Amino acid sequence: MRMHLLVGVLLATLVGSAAPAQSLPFRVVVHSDNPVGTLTRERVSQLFLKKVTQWQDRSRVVPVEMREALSLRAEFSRRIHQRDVATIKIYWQQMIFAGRSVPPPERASDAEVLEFVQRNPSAIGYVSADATLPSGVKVVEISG
Amino acid sequence: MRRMVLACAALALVAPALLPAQSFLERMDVHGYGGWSFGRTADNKTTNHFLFGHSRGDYSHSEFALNLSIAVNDRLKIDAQPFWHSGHHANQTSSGMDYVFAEYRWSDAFALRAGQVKHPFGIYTEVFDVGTLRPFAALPQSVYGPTGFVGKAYSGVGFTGALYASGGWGVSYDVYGGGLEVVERDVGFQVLAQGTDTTGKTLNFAETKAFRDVIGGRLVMHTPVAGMSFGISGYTGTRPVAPVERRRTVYGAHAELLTDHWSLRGEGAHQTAKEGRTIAGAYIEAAYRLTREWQVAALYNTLDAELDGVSAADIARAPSLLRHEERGVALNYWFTPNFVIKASYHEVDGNHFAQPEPVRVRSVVAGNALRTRTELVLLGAQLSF
Repeated sequence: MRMHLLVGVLLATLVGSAAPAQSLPFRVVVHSDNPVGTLTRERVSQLFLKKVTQWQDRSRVVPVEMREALSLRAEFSRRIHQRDVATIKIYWQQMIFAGRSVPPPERASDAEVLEFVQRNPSAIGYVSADATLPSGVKVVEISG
Repeated sequence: MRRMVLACAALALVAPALLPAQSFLERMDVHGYGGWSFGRTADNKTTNHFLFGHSRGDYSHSEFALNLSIAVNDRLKIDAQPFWHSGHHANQTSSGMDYVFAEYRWSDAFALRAGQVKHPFGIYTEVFDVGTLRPFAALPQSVYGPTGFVGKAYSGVGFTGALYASGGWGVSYDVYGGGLEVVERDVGFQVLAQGTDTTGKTLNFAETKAFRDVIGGRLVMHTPVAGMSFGISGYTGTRPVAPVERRRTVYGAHAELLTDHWSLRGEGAHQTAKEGRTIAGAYIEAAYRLTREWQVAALYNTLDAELDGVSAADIARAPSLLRHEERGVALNYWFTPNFVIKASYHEVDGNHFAQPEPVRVRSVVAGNALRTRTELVLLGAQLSF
C-alpha cells in the first residue's frame, strides 16, 4: 500500500512538472519575427522584471504587462514570478526609487496586449490561454 | 533650493530637446513618495530627542519627493529626484536634489552612471526616504542614522551591472569614484572630547561632512532562493581638515530575505577614521504580514563608538554618549503597497542618538542628569506612487 502511494505521488509529481505549459491559464507571446521559441519560467520572469533586458541579438526587450486589477496578472505573477502581485509591486518601487528601472507599460485586455506585441518586434507579453492570436504574434513555449 | 530649481530647469530644457514632444511624454516616468510622522518620548520627564520625537510630541516631520526618469533612447536615461522636507530638527524646512544623473547602458552587465548618483551601500541607501519600502517609519539608526556610514548620493562616475545565471544565481555590482557627503552626529564626541564648558561653542544635532577622492563599491549575490540575497559594500575617502587630510574607511555586509509574507534584513557596518574614532553598528529587522493589510515588525539596533585621545575620566562623565541599543516593535496597516499607516514603540539604552537638544547636552552632562533610557512612540503615514 505504501509502495503504491509512493509511486502515485512520484507519478503525480512527474506529470505535474513535465506539463506545466498545458495547465497555464495564459500564453506568453512575442512578435512573429522574434526567433525565440521556448523560454524557461525563470527567464520569462527575468524578462518581465527587466533583470534581463536584451534578446540574444542584443535588441532591447520590451515587456508589456496586464493591468494590476486583472486576475490574469495575479495568475501570471503567481506562476511565473512565484510571487504575489503586491510583492512584485514592492520590487518595482525598489527599482524606481533606486533609479534602476521602471515597470513595463500596462494594458487592459488581451486585444491591447496583442496589438502592442504586433506593433513592436522586441515586445513580450501574455494573454489568456484562449485568446485568438492575430498575424504577427506567436506563442512562446514555457519550459522548466 | 536654487541648485534644485536649476537642475530641474536644465532637465526640463534638455530632455525635450533630445526627443520629439509625444515621444518625450511616452518615455518619461513620474513617481514620488512622501510621508508624515509624529513622535513622542513616553516619559514626560525625559529630555531626550530621538528620531522624530521629543517629550512634548512633534507633529512637524513631513516630506515629499518626485522621482523623474526619462529614457532618452534604449541606452541612455536621465534620472532626477527633487525633495521637500520639514521637521523640527531640520530648522523647519529644507529642499534639494537627492540625485540627478545619466546612465548609459551597453548591456545588462555594464552601464556607466555619472552625476549625483544614489550611494550604493547596503540595503537601504538607494531608497533612503521611501517609507513604503520598509516596515518602520524610520530606517535602522545604527547604520542609516547620522553615523557617517552612508551618504545619500555620490557625486562622480560609477559603473553598475548585473548578471543572472540559470538556476537562480545572480550577481550585481557597483563601483564608483568621486565625492561623498555624509551626515554625522558629533555632539557626544565633542562633549566628551572638549568638556562641558559651553562658552563660545555651538553644537548641532547633525553635521554634514564632505569626503573627496572616494572610491567604493558594492557586490550583491542573488541566490536560487527567491528573494534571498547577500552583499558587501565599502568605500574609502579623505576629508581635508587643516592641516591634514583625514581618511575614512567604511565597510559593511548585509543579508536580506523577502517573501510574500516575510521580510528579514540584517546588516552591519564598521567605520575607522583617522579622526580618533571607530564606530561599529548593526541591526536585525523582521516583518511579517498577518494579512494583506496587517503587518507586525520587530527591530534590534546596536551601535558602539570608541574615541581615541580622550581620557578614561572624560569618557566616564557620560559613556552612554558612545552607545546606542534599541529594541522596537511596529504594527502597520497597508491600505495598498503604496500607502501605509505605521505605529511603533522604541526602547533605547544609550545617548548616541537619543539625547537632549544640542544646546543643553553639555549642561545636562555637567549636572549628571543625562537619562540613558528613552522610550519613543512613533505614528506615521507613508505613501508612494
